[in-house]
Amino acid sequence: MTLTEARDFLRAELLAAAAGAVPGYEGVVTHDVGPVNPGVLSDGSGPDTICSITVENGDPSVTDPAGELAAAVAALTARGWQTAVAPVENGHHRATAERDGFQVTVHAWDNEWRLTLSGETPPIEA
Amino acid sequence: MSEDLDALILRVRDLPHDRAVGEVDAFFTALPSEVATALAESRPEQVGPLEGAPPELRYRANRLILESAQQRLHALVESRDATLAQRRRLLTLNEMLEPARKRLDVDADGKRVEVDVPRQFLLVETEGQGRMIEVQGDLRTARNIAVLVPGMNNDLERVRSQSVRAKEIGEEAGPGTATVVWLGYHAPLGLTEGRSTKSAREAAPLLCRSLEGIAVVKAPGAKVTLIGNSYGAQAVSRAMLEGARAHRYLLTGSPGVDPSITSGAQMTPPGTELFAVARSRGDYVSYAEQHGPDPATFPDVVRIETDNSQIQITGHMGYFNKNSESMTNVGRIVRGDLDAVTLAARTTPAEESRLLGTSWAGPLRTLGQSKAAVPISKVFDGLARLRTVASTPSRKTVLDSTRRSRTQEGPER
Repeated sequence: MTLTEARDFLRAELLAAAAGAVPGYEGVVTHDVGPVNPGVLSDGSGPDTICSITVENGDPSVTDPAGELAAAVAALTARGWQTAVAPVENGHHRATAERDGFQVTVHAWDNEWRLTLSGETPPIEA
Repeated sequence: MSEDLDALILRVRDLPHDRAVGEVDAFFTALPSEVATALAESRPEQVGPLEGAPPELRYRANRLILESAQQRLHALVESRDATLAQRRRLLTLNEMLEPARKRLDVDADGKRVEVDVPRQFLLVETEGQGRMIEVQGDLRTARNIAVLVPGMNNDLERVRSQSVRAKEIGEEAGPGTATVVWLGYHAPLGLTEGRSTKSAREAAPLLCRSLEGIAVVKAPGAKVTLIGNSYGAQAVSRAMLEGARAHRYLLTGSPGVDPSITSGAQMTPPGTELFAVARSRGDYVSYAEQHGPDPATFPDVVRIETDNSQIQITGHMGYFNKNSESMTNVGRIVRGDLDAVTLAARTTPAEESRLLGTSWAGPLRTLGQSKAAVPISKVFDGLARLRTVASTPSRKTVLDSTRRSRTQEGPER
């Protein structure tokens, strides 16, 4: 798999999970700038080997962090991801998902209508 | 008004940081908004980097600086007079002028809308190695502000990768967070420069002044977390020794502070809520203790966990890996969930680096501090330079990118 293919796959998976989490709404890609160096904060000279993508979804009239997070996790699980839901921490609802080196985090928050799905490809050299 | 600005800049240059930003703040507060905006637009080189000036004016001024540099380099590339470095720089400036992200919001009718989020720079230096300070979020309303200082080999060409890491920290910390990538210093380029504390010593007063600039515009009660990674931890440490004003400090993968610094108490400014450190198993930079004892060995600091059951970090590069415990802890620290931060066992480098019954951390420290480290560093630096030349974009790629940035299409999707 090339990095471009990995990026396309990740974006499609995040959008599918986002759509499954919020009835009647499609997810929106809010961040997807292309290949970046995952170790940049330690050493900027490394190659750009991963892509990081964020998708948001939500119904402004509904605030249901637990329900939407559970639905996103169910959608990811159904698509073959290994998922884990963390205990709620001071209003932070958080789940993780892994598949073939791809990593996804789902964030939802008390009093916040937006659900955030953030994913990262595995490192792939160009 | 232009003369008043020049006089102000001259007057505050050598003042203590808090007094300097206070005077700048008072100067701009007294100006009618249209006059202040006109000043930012007519004198962007002066207003763009001026700590204490309103962030909105600095964003505007720095955008003008970027556009001017973009025009200059574009002309050079079009006329085929640009060097490889100028070609790379134009690509970077194009990216810095594009909105990098969107967000979901609600319009006046309560309907969901997608909003482009413009880039916000508190500093841009487009010549040479380059410097920049980028803000994601709203400094005026954020409840929590994370200031992130990257380590070595970070120049302006790495702004995209740096911004992505800041974005991820913001996601972990949650709503009400602003993140600041602080590349306001010339990070060492290569191991040879990284063996010196010169860059960090030069960074310290700049970072201290930037933090005062943030303090004067942030909401009352908003908390600032200063994060330094790798050589960035050396820069943050030097700033702490000069009284940098933040509420929480986090050093990850530190190469050491100074040979004379062996405890947190020696470097923690008054009012500190938390001084935390991270060292993952096999972090050769921390083991080498190039600049002094590793803060992870200090008896009076909080050492955060980096691993969880899904992801174990080894080496120096993984502190901000997605879904790692260290990244989760970064989010907890930034948003102030300090009781939820998970702590690491107080293992020693010898215990962490044992391989086939023998520890390699001690010999590495000896090698790193020996004369042999100098030629080894030079070989590594030479190889890194070759990689940069090999990855230079073509002239057509750069010109296409300029056209895209000028039509505001944003990043490719």
